[in-house]
Amino acid sequence: MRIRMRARIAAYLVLSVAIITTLAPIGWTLLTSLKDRSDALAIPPKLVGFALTLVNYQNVLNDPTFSAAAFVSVVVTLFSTVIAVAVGTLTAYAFLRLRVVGRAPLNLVLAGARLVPGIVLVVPLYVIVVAVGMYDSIPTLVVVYAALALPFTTWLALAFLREIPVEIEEAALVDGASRLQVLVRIVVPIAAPGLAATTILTAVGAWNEFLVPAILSESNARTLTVVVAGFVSARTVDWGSLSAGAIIVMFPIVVLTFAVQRYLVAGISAGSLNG
Amino acid sequence: LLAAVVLSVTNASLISQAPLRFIGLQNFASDVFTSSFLKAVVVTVEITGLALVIEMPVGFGLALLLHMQLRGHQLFRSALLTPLMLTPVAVALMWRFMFNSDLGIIDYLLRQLHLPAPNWLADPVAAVFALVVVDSWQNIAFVMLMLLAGLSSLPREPFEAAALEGASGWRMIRHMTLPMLRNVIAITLILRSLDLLRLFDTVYVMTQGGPGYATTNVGYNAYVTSFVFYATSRGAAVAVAIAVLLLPVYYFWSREGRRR
Repeated sequence: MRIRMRARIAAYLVLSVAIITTLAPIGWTLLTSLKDRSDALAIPPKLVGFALTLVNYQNVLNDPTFSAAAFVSVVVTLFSTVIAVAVGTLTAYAFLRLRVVGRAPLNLVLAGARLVPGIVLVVPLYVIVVAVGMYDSIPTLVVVYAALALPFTTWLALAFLREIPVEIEEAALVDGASRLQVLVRIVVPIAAPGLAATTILTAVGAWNEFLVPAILSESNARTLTVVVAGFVSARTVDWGSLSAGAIIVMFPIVVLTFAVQRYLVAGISAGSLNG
Repeated sequence: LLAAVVLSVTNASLISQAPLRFIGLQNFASDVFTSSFLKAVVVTVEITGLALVIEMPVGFGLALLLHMQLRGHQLFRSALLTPLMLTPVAVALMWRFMFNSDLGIIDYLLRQLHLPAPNWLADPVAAVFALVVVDSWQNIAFVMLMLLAGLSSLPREPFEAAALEGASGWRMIRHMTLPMLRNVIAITLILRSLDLLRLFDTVYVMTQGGPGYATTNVGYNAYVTSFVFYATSRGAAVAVAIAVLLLPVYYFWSREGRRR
């Protein structure tokens, strides 16, 4: 019993250390974002006893480049996620229930697409987008994001739809429901938690995307990630604003993921383990 | 529905394979295997190897601790998962600022402890470690989550039996947990390797591949070739080379997948 006790204390200790290392960087960045310029650069660093200020947030939010990018990020994330999840769900359903030509290859394509590094796709994509004259526009980003997310959404949707018993659907079909009705009235409601997880994971992925907008857009369709990455050269001495920018970008994700963590945990492990 | 399926298939192949081949073949004769590319391969392998050596054991350890189901373990899990979904660009920015040699908090703390405080991002060796630290900070949670899912799917009976026969905790982990989790560990390892091999955002924000070429991995190399030197075709060739280099990993992954 003594040993159990000691093991327990040790476990708590290790976990606490892990949590401090996990959260301290975020906390520190948050603090820095609330300091004025001289406090942010002070040595020794000030943990307490500095004047709290929101001036960095004002700076960042009043920056027209930043607010324009925020708009682009929100629009692109919303539209690409809706398209990718809708098409992905339909594809997954068709793949599971209908006899479609090309079922086996689809499986392979999906698996393969997950493993291709972004840079491998982006270089040829850039050539295509420029050739078609769609460089630097919001619709381009929406289409590209959705296309790149599609294998992932289909894959996850497959994992969740697979768990729905066919019998329920067959009963509905016998009762005279159409395929589409079955999908909308029965399948989607049952799979709702899974599809919610899919949606959120896709949205977070779109929000976090950096390589695609960095390369496919210049000024009209710059996303937040691109603008914030640009802070590094543009605001090297202004760490307060830099931290505020980082915090603003991360904030929606933290809120979103905490709100639905239960589903997310299921989503991440289902998506990865159902290989 | 059929149209959607067909569309998704053609869409995917239009974007990936067709143009990739077309451009790749044209330019493959050009020098893909230049010294800079080979150096980038070495850097990539270094970063991947180091990060895996840290992330896998630590992630496994944390998963084991959480699996003990101590009071409050769900709270611990939530807190530990925080970094996982955060925007890599913002995370890199955050760390870049903490790694600053004069004003950053990390060197300040190290100096307080009378430990050597390297100029992280300007030192070729330290910069690689800095990247590894950042990636580990963000992705240990992924390893933890996957292995935790694996742990909770294991049957309880063998462990109870072993405990009755007086097996120690270490021996149970070594001879029971690890072999039973083989598949999950393999998949986690492969997914993590793939992500690490194509690491880009962090490199871009933290070091821009520098100092010199010390942290220029293959992803950053392809980027620089295509969009800084405007040699798009050569960049594409590099990209194809990366894809080819990843094939063995891909092979192992699909083999694991089929076994499951």
